[in-house]
Amino acid sequence: MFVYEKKLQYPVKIKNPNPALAKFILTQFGGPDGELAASIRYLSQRFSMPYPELKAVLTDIGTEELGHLEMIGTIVYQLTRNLTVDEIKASGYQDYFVDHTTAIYPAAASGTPWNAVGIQSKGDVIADLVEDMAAEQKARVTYDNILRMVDDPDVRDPIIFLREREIVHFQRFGECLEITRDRLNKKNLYAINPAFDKS
Amino acid sequence: MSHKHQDAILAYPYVPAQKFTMRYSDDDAIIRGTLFPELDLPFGCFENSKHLPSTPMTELMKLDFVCLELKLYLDVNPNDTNTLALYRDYQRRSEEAKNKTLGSQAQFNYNNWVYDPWSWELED
Repeated sequence: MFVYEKKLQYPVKIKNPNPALAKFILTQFGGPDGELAASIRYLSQRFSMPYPELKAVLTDIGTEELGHLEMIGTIVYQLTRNLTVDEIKASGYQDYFVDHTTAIYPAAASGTPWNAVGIQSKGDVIADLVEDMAAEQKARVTYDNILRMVDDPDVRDPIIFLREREIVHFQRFGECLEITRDRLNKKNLYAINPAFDKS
Repeated sequence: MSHKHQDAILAYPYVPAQKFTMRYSDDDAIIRGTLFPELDLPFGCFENSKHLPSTPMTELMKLDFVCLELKLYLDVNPNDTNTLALYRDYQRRSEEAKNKTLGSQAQFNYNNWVYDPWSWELED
C-alpha cells in the first residue's frame, strides 16, 4: 500500500509566477513521457515480474515517480499563482485556463488529456525492461528541452534534479536486464518468457 | 559486493553494473540529483553547484535522498552488506530528522498533518 510523507523530494520555491513556462512544464505531469506515465507504467508492470529484485525496483522507482509527479504539480501551481486575466491571455495559458482555471490537470503540453496509450505493460520481462529504459530516455529528453526554454534558476534547479533521476533509473533498469540475463537460457534468451512460461 | 561483471552479447541490451566506490557528500548528492559521481551526467552547462540553504526540512530531504539512492542500489545488489549497513545508518538519522520536522511519526498530531504547510505551498 502507499504511505504519503508531507514533503517534496527536492525543494520547489519559485519567486516569480510565469504561466508561459507552466504550459509546457505541465507535459511532465500528464504527457506521454511524464511522471504520471512513468509511475503507472512501473507500478503496473511489477505485477507480472517473476523475479523479486525486479518487483522491488519497479515498486521503488514507480513510487519515486509519484513524488516527481508531485514536484511537477508544485512547479505549475507556483508558476500560475496570483495571475491577472491579462497575464493569462498574454502567456498563451488561456486555453488551459478556460477548462481548468489554475487547477492542476493531467494533460500534455498539446492539451491532450493523459492517456494510457503512451505506456505499455507487456507482460514479458525483456520487453517491459526495455520499454522502461526507453521511457527514461524520453523523459530525459523532455527535461533537456524544458531546460532549453527556461531561464529562471528557481525553475531550472528542480528540473535539473528530475532530469538526473531519469539517468539513474535508466542505469537501474539496465542492471535489471543483467539480473534477468543470469536466469535465462544462455543459448537463447528468448526461448521463454519467464513472466508467463514455467521454464 | 556488486553484481558480477558480464560481457555484452548479441541481440540483448547491455548496461554494465555500477560498482559503488565513491559517493557524493549529502550536500552535493541532492543538488546533483545522484549519490554517485559516475552517474552524474548533466545536459550542457545546466548543472546545480550551489548547496541548498540549510533548514530542518532540507536536512531531512538530504538524508532521505541518500536513503533512496542506497535503496535503489541495494535492490539490484542485495548481497552488499557494507551498503546495507550504510543504508541503515542513514535510515536511523532520517527517522530522527523526520520526527523533528514532520512531527512525531509514532504519535499523530493533527496540527502537523492538517495545518502545517502542504508540500506545494510557499510559506508567506
